[in-house]
Amino acid sequence: MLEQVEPHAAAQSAAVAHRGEAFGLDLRAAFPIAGIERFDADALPSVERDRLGEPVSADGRSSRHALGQLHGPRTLTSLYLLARGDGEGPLRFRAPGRGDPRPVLSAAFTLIVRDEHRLQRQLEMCARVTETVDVVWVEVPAAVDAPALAGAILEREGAAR
Amino acid sequence: MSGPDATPELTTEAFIAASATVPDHVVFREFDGETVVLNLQSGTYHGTNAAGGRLLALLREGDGAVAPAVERLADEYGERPDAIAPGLTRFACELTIRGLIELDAGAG
Repeated sequence: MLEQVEPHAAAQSAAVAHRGEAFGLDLRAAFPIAGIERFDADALPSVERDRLGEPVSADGRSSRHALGQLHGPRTLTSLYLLARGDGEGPLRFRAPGRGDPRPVLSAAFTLIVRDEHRLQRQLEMCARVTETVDVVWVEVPAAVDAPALAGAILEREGAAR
Repeated sequence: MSGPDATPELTTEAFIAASATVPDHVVFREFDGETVVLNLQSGTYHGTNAAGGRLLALLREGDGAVAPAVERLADEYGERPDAIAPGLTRFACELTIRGLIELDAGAG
């Protein structure tokens, strides 16, 4: 996505002393950066924590990481729609009827979609996703935390391949 | 001159006399001693050092006139405006090519 830009040479200067930092300019490609709280990072499975890589900066509370770059869109193969529950039963996967765009619409709906034209386009997009992607409802009991949920989804994806 | 594909050819004199604005689709933030610049239209990130970030801030804070921004930057770095202007001109061209500023060289 990013074009590598060679840094500019510093502007020539005849000054022999500076009041502060020496003047110079550069402009280069940079990577998007995301932060994560230490508590959340510690809760990640080790394989996911390793994927974060070395932080570009950190303090006692959180760390910040350069995000990896993709040079094109990834193919969407599965879409998991989460439904939180109150009970403590097992986590369950449930496939809605093939070709029914309403579950995707309910998950993707935003207040931006206010007029009939945009709603129609949104429905068409949801219908296309439903036809081409494995859409799954995940019933998540309250006792299941985020790492356990991620692990269950990854396990299901691994079994499906 | 302001399109991202344009390759502006700008003399230092024309740059000093120009007006430059940071478009609304460009956001920047100081981060660990440098400035990260995000072009929301292209989705590209750039990094620049403190002087580059300061120029962007001066352009956004001011009325777009380049000359006062150059003078202020020179003063803050203990340089003469004419000493830093050529480097700033090249830098501004790079910013313009990437859609990070919009130059109006006919403003002066």
